[in-house]
Amino acid sequence: MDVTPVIQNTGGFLISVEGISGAGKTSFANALAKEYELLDQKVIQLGGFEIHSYSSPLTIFCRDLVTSSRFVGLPWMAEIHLLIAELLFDVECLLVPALKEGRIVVFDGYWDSLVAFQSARIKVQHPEISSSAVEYLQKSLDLLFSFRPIPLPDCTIYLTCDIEKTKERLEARDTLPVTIEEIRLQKEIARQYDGLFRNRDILRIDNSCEGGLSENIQSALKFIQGKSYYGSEAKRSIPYL
Amino acid sequence: MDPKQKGLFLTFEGLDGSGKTCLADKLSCWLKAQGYEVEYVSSVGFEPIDRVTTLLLEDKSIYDPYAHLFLSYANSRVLIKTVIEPGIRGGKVVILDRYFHSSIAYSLPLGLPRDWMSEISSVLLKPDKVIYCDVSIETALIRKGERIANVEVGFQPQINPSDAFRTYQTKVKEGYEAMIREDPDQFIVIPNENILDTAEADLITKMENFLHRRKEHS
Repeated sequence: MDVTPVIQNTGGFLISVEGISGAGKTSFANALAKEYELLDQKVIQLGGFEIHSYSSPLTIFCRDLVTSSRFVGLPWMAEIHLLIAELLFDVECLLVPALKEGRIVVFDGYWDSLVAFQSARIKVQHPEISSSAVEYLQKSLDLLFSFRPIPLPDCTIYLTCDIEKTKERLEARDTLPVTIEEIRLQKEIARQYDGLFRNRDILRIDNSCEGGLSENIQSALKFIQGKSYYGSEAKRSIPYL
Repeated sequence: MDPKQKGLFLTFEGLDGSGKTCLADKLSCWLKAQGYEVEYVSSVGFEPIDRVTTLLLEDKSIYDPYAHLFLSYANSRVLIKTVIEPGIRGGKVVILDRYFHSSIAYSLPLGLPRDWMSEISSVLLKPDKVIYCDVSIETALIRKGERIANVEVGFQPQINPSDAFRTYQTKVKEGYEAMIREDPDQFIVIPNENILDTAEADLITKMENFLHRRKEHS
C-alpha cells in the first residue's frame, strides 16, 4: 500500500461489513480488525455470529436461538422486534461509547443486514403479507431513526459470494445441510442488498475465492482510508429515508 | 353460536400497586363460575425480557427505552402466537397482565414519541377490553411499601425512591388517562382506591354488561 491505513478520525469510525450468510463476513471482519490492531489502532468488533466478553445478554440469547437452526425461529414480527432491540442495545451500550472513545468499530451486519435479511424472510416465507409487512418494517425503522438518531456507517463493505460457495461454507460451519428454501432465501437477501446499495457509495467485494482474503482486505483498507479522509460524506447519507 | 365458545381477549392495566393481579384473579374466578375456560397470562416470561429486566435492576446504565419497547413487543408477539391466539381460537377467555398500553404509558415519560409508539403498536392484536385499575399515586405508593423497583421509578437517580415513584408514576397515569380519553370504548375503568370488594363488584357488573352486549351482537 502506498499509504499507512491509519484512521485519524477522533470521533471514532464505523465500518459495517455486510453480505449474505456464508459470504465470509466474520472472517473478513476478524482480519480487518487485526490489521488495525497491528497498527496500534483501538478497534472493537460488534455484531456477527461470534460472542465476545462484552456481548449483551440479548445477543447471547439471539445466538443461542440460531445455533440449532440457523434462524431465530420466532413469529416473524417477534423476530424483527427482537433483532431491532438487540441492535439498539448494541448501539446504545457498545457502539456509541466506543465511537466516543475514538475507536474503530467493525460491525458485522449492521442495520442494512437487518433490513435485507428480514425483508427477504418476509417475502420468501410469508408472500401473502409481504408488501404490508415489508412496508411495516421500513416505516418502523424510518420513524425510529427520525426520532432516535443512530450512528451511520462511515463506510460499508458489501461481500458478495457465489451461492454454491456460501452453501459449502454454511454446511461446514453448522454441520447442517442447507435446504432449497434457504438457498431461495439467500438469493432474495442478495436482491434486497442490491436494492439497498443501488445508489450508495459502498465497496463491493467478491469474496467467493478462499485464497483471496488478503487481497480483499487490502482493497478494503484502501477504500476505508479514502473514507476516513472524506468520512463526513458518509454521515450525510441517510440510507433508510 | 354460544358466545362462550368464542374466545375473548382481556388485558389488565394500571400503575404499579394498582391491584391488577388481585382483580384479575377475582375476575378469573367469576368467569370460571360462569362456565368460561380462562387462561391467565403474565407478560413476564419470555427469556430476553427477563434477562434484560434483571440487568436493569442491577445497572441502569444499560437501559435504552427504544430497545426495551421493541423487546416488549417481541415478547407480545410471541405471546400472541403461542398463547393468546390459540387460546381465543379454542374458545378461552385469555387474560393478559399488561400489554402494549403499559409499554406506551411507561415509555412516554422516558421521551418516546407517542405517535411512533401508536404506529408500531397498531399491528399488535387489539384486546376486546382493557381493564384499567385506577388508583391515586399515594395509594399505589402505600401498597408498594418498600418494594419499589428501578423500573417503577423510571430509572431516575433520585436519592429518595418515593419521590421518584411519585414523579414517574404521575406521568404514567397521565399517559393512561390520555389513551382512555381517546378510545373510551376500549377501556373498562375500575376505581380501586380503597375497598377491594367494591372494585370487584364494579368490575363484575361492568363485565356482565359487556358480555351481555356482546351476546346480543353475536
